[in-house]
Amino acid sequence: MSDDKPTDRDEAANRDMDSSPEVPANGDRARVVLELDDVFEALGHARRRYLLYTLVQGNSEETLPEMATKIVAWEQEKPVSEVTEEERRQVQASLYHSHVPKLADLGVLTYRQDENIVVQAQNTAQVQAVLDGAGGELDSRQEGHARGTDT
Amino acid sequence: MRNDDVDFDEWQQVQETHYDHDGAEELVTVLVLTIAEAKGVDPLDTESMPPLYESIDAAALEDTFFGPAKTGPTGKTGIVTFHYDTCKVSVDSDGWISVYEPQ
Repeated sequence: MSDDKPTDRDEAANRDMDSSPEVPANGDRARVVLELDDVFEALGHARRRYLLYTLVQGNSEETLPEMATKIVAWEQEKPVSEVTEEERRQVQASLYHSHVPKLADLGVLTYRQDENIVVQAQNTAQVQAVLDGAGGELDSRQEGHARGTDT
Repeated sequence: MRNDDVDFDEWQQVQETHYDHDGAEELVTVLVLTIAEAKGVDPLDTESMPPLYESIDAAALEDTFFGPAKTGPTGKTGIVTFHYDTCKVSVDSDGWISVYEPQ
């Protein structure tokens, strides 16, 4: 993305996500559309949504193994204590090799390799706002899981 | 399906796995486990296994060949071959994954 133009992108980021999108006055429609593409790319996979739920709940710094364990528990509808080492490693592999880098590319999280943790980034709040709006209708079971009691 | 992107004078197949897209795990996981086994390393060892995403978007590849998980066989045919670390890796639309190392 070019940084030299002033910024419909900043305006879009600050805009209330619940209002309908406005076409910027100078007709730079392409940038607004691309941004929404990125948001839905971020949200377009169940494990990435689980990652986001974890990121925005209380503890904002999670290690990759901790996140993987939680995600297995959610996916398999069982307590964290019943997650096996192999299950956790498989999910952790998919996070490390696919979902975390993709979300990092989209500015939705930052991965700190030395600590093996994932933290919020520039676009986390924006994506979370969209998820809040859409999640309840699209996937109430998943949302109920992720926002239910921590097991 | 024969892979025309691999010169078998230069490369030898060292590992092969079949990916079942109706199974529990994602393509990326099966790819990473297969490559790690070929290299004899821990798939979660960040030193010896750089993120696969730097070589290929495995989620996009999964969609390309295997479609959304809910539907059945896609009928698509083709092979994608890419470089990862010192290996070549190919994914056939029939599910076969091959890992090659230099001869």
